[in-house]
Parts: sequence; C-alpha cells; structure tokens
Amino acid sequence: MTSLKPFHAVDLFRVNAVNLDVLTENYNIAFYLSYLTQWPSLFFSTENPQGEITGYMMGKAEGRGKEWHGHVTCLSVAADYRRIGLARTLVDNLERRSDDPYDAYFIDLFVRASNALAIGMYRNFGYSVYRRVVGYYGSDDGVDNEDAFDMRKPLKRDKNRESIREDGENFRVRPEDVYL
Amino acid sequence: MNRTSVIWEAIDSRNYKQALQHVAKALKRNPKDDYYQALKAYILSLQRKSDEALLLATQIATREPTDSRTLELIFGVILDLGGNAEAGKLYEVAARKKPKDEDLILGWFWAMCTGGDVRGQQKAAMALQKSFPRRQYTLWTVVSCYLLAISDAVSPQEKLLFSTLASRLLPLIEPVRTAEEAVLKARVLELLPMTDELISFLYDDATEKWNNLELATMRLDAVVKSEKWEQVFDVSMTTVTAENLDDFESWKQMAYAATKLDNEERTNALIDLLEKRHKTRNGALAGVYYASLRSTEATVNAAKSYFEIFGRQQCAFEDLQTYVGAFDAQKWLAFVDEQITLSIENSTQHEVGILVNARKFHYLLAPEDKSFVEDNISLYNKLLTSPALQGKLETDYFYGDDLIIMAATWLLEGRPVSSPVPEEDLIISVIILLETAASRDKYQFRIRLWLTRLYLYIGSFQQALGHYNILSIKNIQMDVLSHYLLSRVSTVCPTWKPLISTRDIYDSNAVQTPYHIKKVYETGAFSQVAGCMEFGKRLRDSVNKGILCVEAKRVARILGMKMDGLAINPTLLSTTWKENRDFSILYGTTREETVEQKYQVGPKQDGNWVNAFILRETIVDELLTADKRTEYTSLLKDLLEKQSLESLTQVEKWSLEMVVQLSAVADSATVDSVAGLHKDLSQRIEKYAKTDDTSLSWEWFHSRFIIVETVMIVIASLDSLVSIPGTKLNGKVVSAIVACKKSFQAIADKIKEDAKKLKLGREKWARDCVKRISEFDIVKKLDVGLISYIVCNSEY
Repeated sequence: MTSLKPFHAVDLFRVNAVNLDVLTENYNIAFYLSYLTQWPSLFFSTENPQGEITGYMMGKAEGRGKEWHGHVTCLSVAADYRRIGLARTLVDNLERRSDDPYDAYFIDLFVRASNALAIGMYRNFGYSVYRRVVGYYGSDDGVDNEDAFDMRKPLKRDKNRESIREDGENFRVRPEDVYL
Repeated sequence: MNRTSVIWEAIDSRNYKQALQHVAKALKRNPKDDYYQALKAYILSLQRKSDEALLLATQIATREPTDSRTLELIFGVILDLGGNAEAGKLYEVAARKKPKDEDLILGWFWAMCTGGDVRGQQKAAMALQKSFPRRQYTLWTVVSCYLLAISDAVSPQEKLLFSTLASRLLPLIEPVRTAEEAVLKARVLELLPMTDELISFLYDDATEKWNNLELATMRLDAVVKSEKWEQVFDVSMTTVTAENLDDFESWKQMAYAATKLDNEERTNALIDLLEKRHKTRNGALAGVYYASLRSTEATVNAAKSYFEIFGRQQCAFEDLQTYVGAFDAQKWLAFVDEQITLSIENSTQHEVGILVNARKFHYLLAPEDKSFVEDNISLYNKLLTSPALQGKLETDYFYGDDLIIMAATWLLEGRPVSSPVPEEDLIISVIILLETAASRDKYQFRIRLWLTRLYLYIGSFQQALGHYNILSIKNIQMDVLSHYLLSRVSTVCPTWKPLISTRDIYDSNAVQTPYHIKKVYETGAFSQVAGCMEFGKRLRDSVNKGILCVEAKRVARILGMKMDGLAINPTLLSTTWKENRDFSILYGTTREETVEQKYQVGPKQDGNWVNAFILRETIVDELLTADKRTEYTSLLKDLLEKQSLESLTQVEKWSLEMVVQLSAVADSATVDSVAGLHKDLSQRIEKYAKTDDTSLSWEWFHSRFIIVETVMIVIASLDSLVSIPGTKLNGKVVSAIVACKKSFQAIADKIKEDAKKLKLGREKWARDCVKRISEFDIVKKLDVGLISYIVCNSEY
C-alpha cells in the first residue's frame, strides 16, 4: 500500500527503515533543511497505511537557460519495500513536478558507473547516459575515485530532445565541468 | 583595527582571557557602556562561568537597552542560561520603546525564531506588520498565528483567537502568489469550522494549477472530513484514473465512499476498476480493503488473490497482517503453505519471498507451534546454497535472514519450543543464531541492532560497539538510534568517544535549525515552517540529549577526566522532554515491544530519570551553597517520594538517596550524621556488590560502577566539607569523616579486585557455556561451523 506524502523536517525522525540501508547517505541537518527550504515541493515520501515512511525522494530544480532542470539528489526505498515500483512512483512524481510548475527541460541524476542495477532501473524509466564524469565519486587523494554517469530524461519543454545525446557513456567530462 | 574588532578577533580565536582584557580596558573608559558589558557577559558565558554571565546579562537587561548589538548578545546569554521567557521580554521591552525601528523589530523576530518562541514570533511579526505594512510581514503574521493555533502550549480559547486572527488577515495576502502561500491559506482555513470555504478554495482552478502535493493531500482529506461521499468517490476516481496516480489513500477512500453511498452506478464503477487493476499492488490491496468492509469471507478471497500475485514481495506480510487476525488461522496458514512450491535449495529471490512471508504468518497466527524455531533454522540452512543468497550483492539484504530473526525473537519472547534452551544460556544461543546470519549478510541492520542490544544486555560493550559501528549511525540517527548502544553506558562501560560524538547533533541543531527557520520565512516555504519549528524543538528537548548530558558528566567522573564544560544547567529541569528514540525498528514481524524492553539495559530511561540525575549533579555541584542545595535536595526528595520513578534501577534509586543523605550531612556535619551516612552506604554496598556471580549480565557492571561512582561523590564531597574556608569542624567530626573516607576507599579497591576475578571467571564461564550450547538441538541444527568461545566472551 503506497501513498505519496509531502516531506517535512519532523519526518527525519521516521526514516530509519530507509536510512539504515548501507548505501543510503545520512546527510547532516543543514543539507536536509536546505532542500526543504528551497524546494519544498520536490522532497516527498511514500508511506504505508501505518504511517511508516517506506521511501523518499529529495529533488531540486536548478540551471540556467536550456540547462534549467530537475535533479534527483537522493532516492531511497526501504529494503522491505523494494521491487514493487516505489522508485518509479517517486521518480514519476518528481518528473510531474519538474514539468509543472517548474517547467524544466529535463531531469538528471548521477549514478556510479559500476552500479549496473541502478543504471538499468533508470534506463527502464526512460533515462539515458548524457555524459561520463571522470572521478566524480571518491576521496580527495583520488585513491578510490570512480566515474559517474550523468543520466537524463527530457521533459515536455524539451520538444527537440536537445538535453540528451547518443553514446553519452563515451562523452567524458571532468567533475568541475559539471558545476559550471 | 578598532577595539570592537580586536575583541571579536580574540573571541573568534577562543582567546577569551585576552578578549576580557580588551573589554576591561574599554569599560575603564566607558564603564556604563551596555555593549561592552554585554560582550563581557557573552565572553563569560563562553568560559562557562554561567552564574557570573547570567547575573551581568540580567543587570544589563534591567536598563532596557535598545541597541541591536547589545540585545543580540544578552539575548543569547539569557536564552542559554536563563530560559526562553526571560530572553523574550528583552526585545519586547525594547520594541515598545522604539516601535518604528525596523531593524530592531526584525531582530526581535529573528531572535524569537532562534529561541523557538512562537508566541514571541507572533508578537514580533504583528509589530512589524503594524508599523511596516508590507505583504511579507503580513504573511509572517499569518504563519505565526497559525503556529500558535496548532500549538499544544496555548489554551483552547487562544487557539480560537489565533485561528480567527490568521483568517482575518488572509484577505490582505490575496491573491495568493505561490503554491506555498496557497498551502498557508488552506492550512488556516482548515482551522476554521467553515469546511465549505476550504473545499471551495482547494478545488478552485487557480489553486489546482499549482499542482502541489501538499494541496492534493489536503484536497482529499477535506472532502473525507466533510463526509461528502459522492465528491470523495469522484475525486478519488479521477486521481486514480484520469490523473493516473496509483495512490492507495485515494483507492481506500474510493472504496469507503462506495460502501457509504451504496449506489449501484458507483459500486459498479469501482468493481470494474478493481478488476482492471487487480494485478497492481494498490489495486489488489484496495480489493482486500473493499472486501473487508463487506465480509470476512470476501476478505479471505481477496487476500488470497493478492497473495497469489504479490506473496513473493517482502511487503506482502506487512500489507496483509492487519486483515488476517479475523481469518480462520489454520485455513489461512494451509493456504500460504500451499503457495510454497519451490525446491528450496535452488530458490530464487521470489521463492524465498513466498517462503518467508508464509513463515511470518505462522509466527503471527500460530504462537504455540513448538517446532517453529527448528523449522525456521532448518529452512534457513537449506537456503544457504540458494542463488538468492549466493548471487546477492554484498550490500543487498537476504530476505531469508528474517527466518533467523523470527527464531531469535520467538526464543526471546519465551514462546514454546520442542527442545528448550536453559534460561541462563538463552541469550548466548540467540546471539549465536544472529551472528550466524550476520556473518553471511553484513548489512542486515535488524540483526546488527539486535546484536548490539543483546551484547550490551550481557555487559559486552565492545562486542556491541563492533556491530553498532557497522551500521554507520550518524547525524539525526544519533538522536534516534544511539540508545541501542549508549543506554546506561556510564555504568556498563564508561566510554567517552561514542558518547561525546553522539552529542554533536544537538550542537548542530542549535545552530542549523534556527538558521533554516529564518530561511523558510525568507524564501516563503511556508509549508515547512511548522515542521522545522517542531524538528528544532524535538531535538533541543530530546530526552536522549538529556540522558547523554548526564552520562557525559558521569563518565568523566568515573574516568577521572576534567569536568570543565560538562556543567549541567538546572534550568533544564523545566524542559518537557521529547521522545524521538525509535524502539520498534527491530521488528520485522511483530511490534511486540515488550521483548525489546525486556532486553534493555534496565528500565527505559525517561524524562524523570534525566531530571533525577540533573538534580543529583546539581546538588553535588552546589553542596557548599546552602540555599541552592536545600532547594534542589527538596526537589529530588519530592521526585523520589512522589513519582514512582519506574525508569530507575534499584541501585540508581539508592545512589540518589545517598546524595540526599549527603546533603543532610552538609547541612549539619555531626559525628552521628557522618556515621549514619557511613552505615547506610556500607550496608547497601554489601547488598549490591556480591562477588560470586560470574554470569554474563549488564547488572554486575551497573551495580559496581554506581557504587564506585557514589563512593567517589561522597569522598569528594566530604573532602570539600572539611576544607570549607572559614569553617572549623569539630575534631571528632573530622576523624569520623576521615574514617568514613578510608572505609569507602577500601570498598572501591575491593570492587576493582573483584572485577579482575570476574574477568578470569567469565572466560571460564564462556568456555563452559560454548561447550553446553554446542550440545543443544537448536545449535546443532544451525550450520554455524565451530562456535568460538569469543562470541560468548565479554571483551570488557
């Protein structure tokens, strides 16, 4: 049973079943609150009828001109609620809000190039690799650096599908290019 | 560089002594300068000279300053040391004197946000709105009136007053310009009895165009509350079909409305839709819910249909468990067992899903099944070679682990088993079960949390810490989950690092949350104001924070560390402690919290526990200050007498009583009072420090550490009594004190010796235990390999 609910700061006390997952990042207070403050409608959760949070999406809208886009910052689903389409529900909703009212050209996200499961899932949702960000993940000393795929899906506003490209896996950029 | 900059530079570099020297020079020239006085108070507060700082800040406050810089400084000092109410008055008085000073009143508003003072926010916003009638200030006034109207801290009459006030201001913000303003307006309308107005606003085209989730949620809630069932049905149908949102709440309300309406057309429309969507999870569950409104037989059939499709998903048990209580248990269990059609050893993830869900229903509906544990272990063993486990990523969970978790909680609950484990070996047996699963599934958090809890329960802190560390608990989780490791840590294993790093979250909250509340107002994210305010308050007043505050001081005392900066402010006693800790995350199958509570380190610590220890620490700190000591002793006595104090262990209660008695000695140190203290302390120590027990238990450590801690307090306090400047104790009293101290020191030494003996004894105990456990049927059946005695041995 799944219902979408807006996320509020007090919900941070209720995300244990999701955030105890080893791959889900637990951010500091400032990070969560800055998203709620700046993009309140792009942070939402799924709940079961007992009111327990089973997954959530932290998103934002940013960029200039044709780079104006929605962004998946964090998408996570509790272990007991995986493989039942919650991720799609959450991503669909972010796309819906990024289309209207944000009127974005596309949605994007970053994923580890080695994370075949996630890449497959997003391809299934209609996303494709736009570029490969070399050494995006990792430590300052560069020891454990790993590339990221910047995956994108065009929204209604991008009528000519200019926000995506073929063969993005081989289009290499540096991390600093991403922040431009 | 001017003098002020020099002072701030010294403050920023934490050179408080130098900063005070500069302030002293400035005050020499301008002794009545409020700002420099305020700086002095501020620096003293940073140096933790609380009394001096508060006194000076209060003196400045009586002069009713209106300078923003001064106000900001003394507000901070008084807020930290004297409480919210006093701090709030400062700005109110200043604003009354200078109602046209926008910066001053704005400073007031932000200060109230910082202090989490909603009433102050409302007053300041109102003052801003009156003197500077801008739209933004009107919005802030509406927000703060709304916050007061939903606050628990105001009377019903006031709630009505602030609701009305907020609604009267709404016309001033028309037309709403953002989705967030629309949410604010809807929230205010929701407070009023005029539901039609709210519904008409929520369903207005102009409101719907915002395409906002918060408004969408309110839209459905509003029509449900007003019991307009036709509208509920139509709106829900539109959401699920035309908008193609597979939202269960909409499904549920549609089914409920159809039942209420009992109208053929709508009923048929619902049944058609349920048939079309019966292969979607929400559609299938809506079918179960709709059936549950009609008959048990229909519900059973719908649940069977659901399980046939979704029984392989991990959530299937959670989804159905609320319904199956009404079913014929035997028939239902036979049905779910029939669904297990796999050859277990080669099972896929889906097949494991059906199996584990079926076992969960057994756990729920057949609590007397004596073979449950053995069956689960046997099934788990068979799954060890399955592709579902062998092929999983390290970071994925293996659902088969739930078989072990169920076996473990079954044993801990004391449910019947065919070959019972002796009581004294029960926890170790359960630990072995869980360790076995953990060794194959590193990140299964429920197993790690259970292991953390159980190791702590047997007094093996280091083992508990190892499992806890794998969970990478950080940031907000520190407040919510750290109790699994740190409950009564000062008396199980006094340790500094995990304790002190956990407290960081509260410092972060003190800075970050007010900053973001300010941002919420500035950016107009009004749907988030109430949540941010509540979030900040719950962390500020968190009972876990109170517990850690007390524990830090106790650990420092036991470890002989410097106590600077660990002073506990008695104003905390007026805190309404908030419970944020999560005690139910352990459960995948049932929510029977009694098991978790049974295996906690002592009764659950609560606000009363915190207050009792704040009083104890304050009495010890103020032992030589007659007035304060008497006041706090009387409060502690009241607490011990009037409250049942179920959150205290017997030995904790005794320790608090000893401090009350110590306070009486400080009142009048006579040979009799010292002898009385000596006698009472010695007698109870005899009781709590029996040395023959070498079994694994947190209680052994707990009682000994409290004895040692209490002895340390008594010895230090008697030392202080003897050396009070200007007092001369009778020679006989001094001799009695010296004898008393000697005797207590001997007790502390004896406990240390016993601890050494215990360490050796435990090792032998652990070896014996492993030998015994290896013979149990449960363990024999578990593919555990050679059991290491280290598993059972405390590393303490």
